[in-house]
Amino acid sequence: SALEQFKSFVASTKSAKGEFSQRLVKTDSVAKPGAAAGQAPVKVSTPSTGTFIFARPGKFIWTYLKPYEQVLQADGDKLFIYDKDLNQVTSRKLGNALGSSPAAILFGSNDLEKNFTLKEAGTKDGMEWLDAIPKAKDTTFEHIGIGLRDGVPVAMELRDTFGQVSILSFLRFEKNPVLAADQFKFVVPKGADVSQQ
Amino acid sequence: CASLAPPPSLPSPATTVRPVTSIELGGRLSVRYQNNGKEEAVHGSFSWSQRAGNTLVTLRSPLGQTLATITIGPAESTLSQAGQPTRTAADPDALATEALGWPLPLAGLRDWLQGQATNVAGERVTASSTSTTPIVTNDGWQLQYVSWEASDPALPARPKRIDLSRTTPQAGDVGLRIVIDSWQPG
Repeated sequence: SALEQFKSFVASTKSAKGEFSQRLVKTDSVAKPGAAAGQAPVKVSTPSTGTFIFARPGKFIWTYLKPYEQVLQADGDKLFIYDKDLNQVTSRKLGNALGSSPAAILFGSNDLEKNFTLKEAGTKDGMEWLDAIPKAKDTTFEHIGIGLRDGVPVAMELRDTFGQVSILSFLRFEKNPVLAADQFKFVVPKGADVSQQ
Repeated sequence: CASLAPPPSLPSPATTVRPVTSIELGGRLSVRYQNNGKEEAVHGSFSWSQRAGNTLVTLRSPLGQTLATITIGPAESTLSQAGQPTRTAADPDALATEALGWPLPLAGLRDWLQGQATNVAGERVTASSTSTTPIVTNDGWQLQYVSWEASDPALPARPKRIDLSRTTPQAGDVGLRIVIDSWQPG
């Protein structure tokens, strides 16, 4: 079952790395003029792709490579965000920034059931799906789905409270890779402007 | 006689895209501001759907979750955030600043994203890819057109990165950086 796969994943995975692709699917709340009533056009964004690496609890590097370069890096204490085009680094205390975010599900501490209610959601597209409903009400997520196969997450669906769905798929998922000692230490790219917090 | 003096000569429009009333834009932004003395920073992406009558703006977190949607209407603007009651106000800038906690000059951006502005002297000016002198707008924002998208020689250059700065009583020195990724007129 999805729950068994997920629990064994959490228990047996201290760290992991791989590649991701992300698409945003938005049913436009404001239907374009002339669009048939009720037929709100669905806008699917061009997929963004990149790499990820994480180590429990609370350390990860989520790197967007395409269509633009952006890094979200948590070193266990702080969350850094660097955007190459903006040439800007912002950093803030990690605290509960992870909280009920998708990062918490994959990379956070493993007592996931503190923040989410987990429920079986059947099989679809060759994956066993798990529903994770955030317990906190003020979260930006309405519903998170995790698709597992062979004991590792292969896809995630994140629906926010505006009806936008973000579809993530993970490729070349490598469990417990060898990590450098300072793997998650953030280094400010040369010339980037930093805003401390 | 119709006009005594010719209109002030604007920098040649050929180097800059002509503004249109309806356009779809998308991009990223980062904001630095002070919140009672403490330095704060926000990162995210936006989509901007501008029509003659109204503009729909969506702000998203770096991972793509919607943070707020703002509809700017001719007389009234509305803003909705996750888990909060919808807010409405006549002035979109005041509405955004109050809800987000940092200033977002929505009214001005309708022009500035397309390289147009009204400067301190009240003149309509067009930013140009050949000049780096900042434009100071009539409502006190300084605009720096840092980079331009000109990869297609057949199309006029259009703004890519715009830096906005201003000092406001509540948010101190504010630095807003915008990069436009997608540009779809009409």
